[in-house]
Amino acid sequence: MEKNKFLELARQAKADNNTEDAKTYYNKVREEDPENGEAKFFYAYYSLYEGKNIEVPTRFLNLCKVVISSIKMVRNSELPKEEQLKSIEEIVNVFVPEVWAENRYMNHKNHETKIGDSYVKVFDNSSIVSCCKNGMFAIRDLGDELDKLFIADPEAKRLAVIAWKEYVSLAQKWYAYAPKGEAEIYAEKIKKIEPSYEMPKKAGCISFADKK
Amino acid sequence: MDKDIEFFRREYRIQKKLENIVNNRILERPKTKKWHLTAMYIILPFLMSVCILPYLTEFTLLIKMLISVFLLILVIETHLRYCFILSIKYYQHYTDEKIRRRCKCIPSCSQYAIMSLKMIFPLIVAIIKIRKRLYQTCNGEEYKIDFPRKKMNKEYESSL
Repeated sequence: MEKNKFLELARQAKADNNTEDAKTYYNKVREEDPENGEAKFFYAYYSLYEGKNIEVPTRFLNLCKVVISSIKMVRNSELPKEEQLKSIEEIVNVFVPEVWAENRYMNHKNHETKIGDSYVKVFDNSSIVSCCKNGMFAIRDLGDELDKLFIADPEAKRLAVIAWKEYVSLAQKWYAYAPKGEAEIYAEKIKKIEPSYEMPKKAGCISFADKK
Repeated sequence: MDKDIEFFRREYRIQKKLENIVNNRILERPKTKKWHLTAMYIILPFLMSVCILPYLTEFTLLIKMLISVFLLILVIETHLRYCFILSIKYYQHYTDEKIRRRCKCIPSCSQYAIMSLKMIFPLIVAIIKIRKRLYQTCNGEEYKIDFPRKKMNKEYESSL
């Protein structure tokens, strides 16, 4: 009873955009029920931008690892299927935009402070690339896992499509880091479920990126 | 830190909206005939040669030059501009859908070029703007709203 109360409070705080309270309540849920996937994920999510900037890449990589295990934990819980899908939807809706936003955040920080002619580098290039790759593949795996865990469930398929669409979009944007031809494979998968889907193109009008 | 990341999360939502608009927009295919375009380009040198006519008159050299320059500007700003617009419409009509869908901006680069050629004077400024649009604005991973006039950008953004 107590556990559900904290989970409700955490969800309410999340809906109100009150990150402090949401993190506290999710932590309480996690302490009482370490098997709660939603709490595990959101605790990692709210911890992402706390503390020093230098820790952000490590925390983000941790979040990428947590997302799949959280989904599995939700699936293996004793909750009814609708509740499970509701929890997973919350996770998908939060994690999917985070990869792009986090990349932009890191690039923005690297171009914020200027000393002389050069900018102060907060994040090194290797950690930015590593976050790009891991985030992109975590989104892809999230879609695959959803497809595997809930076979032939239309709601789960819809969530998997959200993740796959983002993967295709990111793979087209960061084509240097994505395996060649994989975006097309996932675009075909999406088209089977959503026939009107149009795969986004790699770059602008005057670009040879589409030939790469 | 929270404010910064919230800004990028909002930006993501806007980007998704724009991506949806760009990927699902119907691209215009204006009816343009090859003979029409060819005729316009054939006429062009004859119109240019009109600029020599003042030199056959008996005015002073300065007046001759002034009239000649005026005629040249007139031909460039009207007929050459129209030729360029027609060429872009020809491109819009005949180019493959895949190539045209590469554009990541609103409106598409070809539409932007037509709008610039119709709105911006002199012609050279319009051409510089079109070049900037092709090589800078529409080059990268982001979806952008970019109209020839800033006021139009604001109007479009508020309508989203």
